[in-house]
Order: sequence, then C-alpha cells, then structure tokens
Amino acid sequence: MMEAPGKPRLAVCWTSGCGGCEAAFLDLGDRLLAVEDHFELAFFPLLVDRKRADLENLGEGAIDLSLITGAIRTSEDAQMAHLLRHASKTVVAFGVCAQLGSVLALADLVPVETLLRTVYGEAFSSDLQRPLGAPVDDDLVPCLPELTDSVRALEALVPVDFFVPGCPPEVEHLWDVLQVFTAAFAGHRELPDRGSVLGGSEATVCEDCARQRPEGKVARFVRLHEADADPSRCLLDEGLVCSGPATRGGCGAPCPAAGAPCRGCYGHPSGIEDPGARMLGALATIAEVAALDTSHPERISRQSEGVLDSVVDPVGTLYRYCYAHSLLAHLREPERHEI
Amino acid sequence: MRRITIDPVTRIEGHGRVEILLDEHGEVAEAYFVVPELRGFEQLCVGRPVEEMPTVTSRVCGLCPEAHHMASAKALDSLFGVEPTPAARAIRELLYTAFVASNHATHFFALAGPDLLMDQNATADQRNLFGVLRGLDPDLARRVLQHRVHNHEVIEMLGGRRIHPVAALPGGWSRRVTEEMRDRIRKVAAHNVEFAMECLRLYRDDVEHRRDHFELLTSDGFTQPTHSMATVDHAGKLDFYDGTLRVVDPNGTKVLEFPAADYAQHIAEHIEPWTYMKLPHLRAAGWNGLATGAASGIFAVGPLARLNACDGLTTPLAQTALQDLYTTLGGWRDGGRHRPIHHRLATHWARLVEQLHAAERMVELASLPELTDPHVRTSVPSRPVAREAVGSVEAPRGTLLHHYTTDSEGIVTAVNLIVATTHNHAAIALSVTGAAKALVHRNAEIGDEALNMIEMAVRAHDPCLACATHTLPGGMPLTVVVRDTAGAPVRVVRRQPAN
Repeated sequence: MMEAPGKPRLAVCWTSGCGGCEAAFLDLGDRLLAVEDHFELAFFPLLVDRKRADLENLGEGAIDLSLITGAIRTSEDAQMAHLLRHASKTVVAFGVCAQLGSVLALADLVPVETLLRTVYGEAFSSDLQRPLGAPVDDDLVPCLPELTDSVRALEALVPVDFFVPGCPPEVEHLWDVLQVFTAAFAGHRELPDRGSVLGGSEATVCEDCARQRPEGKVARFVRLHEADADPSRCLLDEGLVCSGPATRGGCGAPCPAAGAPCRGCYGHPSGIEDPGARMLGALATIAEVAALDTSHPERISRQSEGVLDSVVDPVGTLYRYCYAHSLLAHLREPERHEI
Repeated sequence: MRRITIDPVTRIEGHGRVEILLDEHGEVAEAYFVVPELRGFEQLCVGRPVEEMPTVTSRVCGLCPEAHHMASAKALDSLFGVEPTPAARAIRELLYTAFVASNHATHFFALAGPDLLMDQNATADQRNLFGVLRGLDPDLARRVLQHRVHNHEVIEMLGGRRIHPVAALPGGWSRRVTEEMRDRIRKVAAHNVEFAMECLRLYRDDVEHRRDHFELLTSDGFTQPTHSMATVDHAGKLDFYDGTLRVVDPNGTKVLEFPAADYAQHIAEHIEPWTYMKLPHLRAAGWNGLATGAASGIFAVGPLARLNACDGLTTPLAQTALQDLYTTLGGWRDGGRHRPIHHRLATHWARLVEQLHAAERMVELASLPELTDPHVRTSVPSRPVAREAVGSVEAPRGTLLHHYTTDSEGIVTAVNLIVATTHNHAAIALSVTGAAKALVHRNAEIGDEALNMIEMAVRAHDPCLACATHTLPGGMPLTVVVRDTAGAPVRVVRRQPAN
C-alpha cells in the first residue's frame, strides 16, 4: 500500500473465532475502499500480507486501533492478545467472542481433559492408534500451543478500551464504529468514554422487534421445531425461549423477524450483570403469570416450576454467548489459572 | 539447521503457518503446515437440543456459515424423519447458490486475486484486494465489491441474517419468500451469471498472456495426483446441495459411490503419534503416509476435485467452461469422461467454473413456482425418530459432513464434523511440500516472491482453518526425504518443535 504519512494504523486480528467479524468488512461494499483511505492496514491476516514479524517489529503503541476478534482458547491466542495490546494505543474487543467468550465457552461445562477425549478418543471415524496422552518421542512433540483451562473473554487477559457486540456485529455497526475512530483520529471529535460499548443500543432487542408486545402468559415452553410461530406474535407468547428481553438491542432484531428466537449474541445491556440469570427471571415471571391463571392458587409455586422445567438446556440456551463472562462460570470455577 | 517460517499464512481464512526446515546443504528437509488452534465444537454441542445445531454449528465458520447451517438442517431432516416442503427445499438451495457464487468470487478477488491478477513484482504491501481493485477497470472494481453485498442481501432475505443465518428447521425453513423478494433475487441471479462470465474471462486472459503463471500452473512442484471426491446427482452431475458421494482415482476411474450417511465405512481419520491432526483417507486403501498416486488413500476435495470427480455440470454455460478448462489443460476427451487434472493452481479456474454453475442454477431456482408457496414447514414429531443422522453438502471448499447422535429427547450426545479443509489436509500438505521442494534450493536466497509462491500452494485449496479448527489443532509434518544427486535417500532430518 502506498501510505500517506500520518495515516492512523489499524489492525484487525482473530484469536479463536470463526472469521465472521472479518467477513463483515467484506459486506461494507464500496465503503471498504474508504477504510483503506483512512487507515494503514498494519495487520489484517485475512486481507493483507503483513506477518507476525512485522507486528513484532512495531514499537509500543505504534498501532492506533486494534480490533481483536475471537475468544482466548489457547496460549497462542493469549500471546497475540498481549502482543496487540502492547503495540496498540486502543484495543477494541470486536464481536461477542472477544467481548464475552461466545459459544466456545459452552465447552467449559466440562473439563479440558474431557474435551480432548471427546475430540480424539470418541469421534466416530477416528482410527485411533494410541491412547490419548501416551508418551511420544521427545524430538517429535507437536508444536502446538496449549489449551487454556477455560475460554476467556479478551478483557480477562488485557485491558480493553471498547467493546462491540454481535455475532458478528451488524455491518452498519462496524461502519459506525470505524467512523467514530476516523473522526477522533482526524481531531473532529473526542473518543467515547473508555470501557464503552459501541455499536449497540442501550435498550433491549425487544425494543427493535417488530412483533407484538408480549402478553407474558405461557403454559409450557416449546422447542424450535415444535412451534409454528405466528408472524406477528411475540415469540415468548408462542412458547419459544427468546432472549430478547435480556439482550442489548441495536441489531434490528433480524432473528425474530425471520421467525427465530434471539439467542443473545449482542450481549447484555448496561445494568444487567448476568443476562442468563435475567432471562431465567423473565421466564419465571412468565411461568408464574401462567400459573396464576389457574383456579388453584395453592399450587402456583409447583405449577410455575413445572413450566420452567419445560425449558430444555437452560444454560446452553440462556448463556449461549455469555457463559465465559457469567456469574455462573465464576461460581463453577472460582480459581482460574493465569495465562 | 535453518528454518523458514511463514507466520501467518495470509489471505486464507483462519490461523495457519508454514514451517520449512533446511538441512546443512540448504535443501528442504521437512515442511509443515501448522494449524495451532482448537475450539472444541464436538464438545460444546453435547447437551444442546439438536434442533439448535444449525445456529450453533454455523459458528464454526463465519466465511461459510451457510454450509454448516445447511448440512445441519439436512441432518435434522433425517433425525426427525421428515422431508422439507417443496418451497423450503427451493429456498434452501437458492440461498446456497447465492452463497457459493459469492464465496467463490470473494476468494478469487480478495484472497487469490493478488497472486493471479497483479504484476508478479508487486510487493507484499501492494499484494492485497485493494491493489487488485486499483488494477481493474473502475466499474468492474465497483461491481466486485457490490457482488458480495448483493448476494448477502439475498442470503439475509432468505435466511434472516447476512452472516450466520437462522432459518433452518427440520423439514423446512422459518421464513417465506414473497414475489417481491423473488423479483429482487432474479435480478441478482442474472447479474451473477454475467459477473461469473467476466471473472472467467479475466482468468483466461491471465493464463493465456502470462507465461510465468501458466508455467507455474503446470509445473511439477504444483502438481500432485490424488483421488478426488465430490457429491453427484443421480446422473453423475455435480450437486452442491444433495446427492451421493463419489470418489475417483487419479486417472478418473470411479472407485466409490456411497450415501453420505455411510461415510464412516469409507473414510477413516488417521491419527499419528507425532501429531494431533487427524488425516482423513480412504479406509480401503489404508494409511500409507503422505503419498500421491492411485495406491495412496489420500483424496482431495474442493473445486478441482469436484470437477475431476463429476461427469459434468447441469447448466450449459458452466459445462462449456468446464470443457474449456479440460481442453486447455489436457484432460478433455470427446465422447468420453474428462480425465482428472492435478495441477493444484487450476483449482482457481475450477472455482470460477463452479461460480458460473452456481449462478446459472440460482437463475433456475429463482424461477421455480413453488419458491413462493407459503408452506415452508412440515409437521415435525416433537422428538427425533432416529437417534443418529448424517447431513452433508458440498461447501465451497469441499465435502462437509455433520454427524449427530442424540438421546430419546433429542439432546445431542455426540457430534462429529468433518469439514472440507480437514478432508483436504493431506492434499494441502502434499502441495506445500511440493512447492517448497521446487522453490527452495540450496544456497539460494529465499525472497518474498518464493515464499509467496509457497503460500500460493496453500491458497489454491482455499483452506478454511476456522472450519478445520472447530476441533483440530495440529502440526502437519510433511516428511521430505533428502536424496543425493543419484536420487538415493540420504537421510530424513528429524522434526523440531515449531515454537
């Protein structure tokens, strides 16, 4: 790239992620050219030929803005996070993997040893030649980074300046976020407060949702394939578990619009510490309202529990994207190792 | 011992690096394609309700979530014993054609384009999508960027989101298509056909006019004969969405044809004591190390392998383009089945032929009367009727298999995902070692250009390491025997850890 001097440097780098956040750049269309006009792409493995050594050769704070996508799952992810933090003035946890650990953290519902045994010992087609953990020739040890004992959000490792939610962030939010920094680097405006969430709203997904307001009365929760949702009614009223009430809005609620319940990829709005717990509370309220509707008030408590029991896999559903960052995970693993 | 490291291999999806070890004479001793990641989808899916798999497994890959979403939907159809309604079937395949057309074009311009369409003297800093676009006619450059946007608008219209669709259900789809949507999709489909033709012209001009490119394309270092695998329809034609799996040997002789559900009978995943990387290969041939040829069980998947394995394409313009490819590179036989080609860089050409095929198929699907039928869902039992099922599609990078087992409540008890890039790992390893041996010579300076050519050997396969590391960490050791000038093996230098 022919770089004009003084162009701010941008890095876009994945740790353990799916590449969807990077793919969102390609959805910018013509505006992708403006990104290159405004930034020197100092490191962006999907699109430009800059290597790790180039990154290592940059001094402290040489990169103006790093968007880190992906969770921390391996020691190499941790190294990259530290390297980018050192090289960057501003670090953004971009997308829900970096922000909250994402779906990857559901693997932490079992220990790492079980994970490895599942992958290598029990996969159906594996032609296993050795027991897992059998000693290997020292000279031939695989050159693999270690797995961390649990999946971490970026913030658990390095200080993070801003957060952008979404799996991936909607392309318009990506564009808005880039413009915030473009304007700030050009001196046209101040950066938002450190620690802010950029690219979402302060309301919930329900505020974005075009479906009718919930009546909040469900006798039994049903599974995705069991409900043929009415196109206009609230999905919760249809008996589907929808995390809209505990999820940050701004996404435009595309999933409910397509007949699919929200699974919480935009994380929690400010003021909600544990969205899974908040959702459980919301479901419990719905269940109690349903139970109240009966003519046997003395059975309310038992009946509402029965309604809640119809929620299958509450942890995997209500904590789909936020388990690593949840109170629940901290309760389960009070002591995590340093990485 | 000298070591050459390419870290990361850029312009591919996900984390990968190449490690080349040189002996004291400066010859390649060993080369590794290292994939240092594990994300554990086999584990994190366990305990989830199986109907959630289309949106959970799509998170394996943000570049090809549509492929995982669809393979998962098909596995659900089998588990619940239902067939999608005609409208749902049409919508699924229509979304899939938009996805393939877009994905292949993205690879051609953004990832491979700098190697194919730019001057060979371009520096590392110039070698990127922006450099490619600057070299194109401005109107074409604009259309390159718009192509992905328009196709992902179609994907969003049909699947609910641009990246990570949400609409798949067992036996159907959660969203209906209106006539207004159909009109818009038909326009995009028609543009896709024109655009794919233009991409092919660009590539053809390049191959014809750039001698250096043609020589590299057909050189020994970039040619590795292997078996080829693809999904074909009842007539033996390539089918991205559904069909049976076919394997042909390096000469084009059919050696296997089987339903995806039987994959474990025919494909084994080898595990070596020196790597965590699984190595899929043909079970009948057994594991014979990283070897080319008919006796080896190694097979390739992806665009070139698909064209090699199928009897042809169902759409006319793409079939003509296929004939042009095999005529130019020497595999065409009038009145007979084309012979496989093993020049791995020709995968780029094959990808564009497929892009055209997907575009033409999209035009056909967008005109189907049933597309706008409101019956997108069928009645589904509340619990699966089977405890185990396999769903498969041809992802852009090759055959993708999703295999689930559940308990009687439909809660996932085990998941095995064999993704295209995993199928292709041995083939990629062969390509990397072939290129390294051809390009790295004793005492020669290894410049950026040669290193990039080694990366080109990787990029030809368009590996998706986001996909491959849904579960698999690993170093791929590529054993290269050091020979003396008479060709006798001298020694094999031991591998060293890359870190």
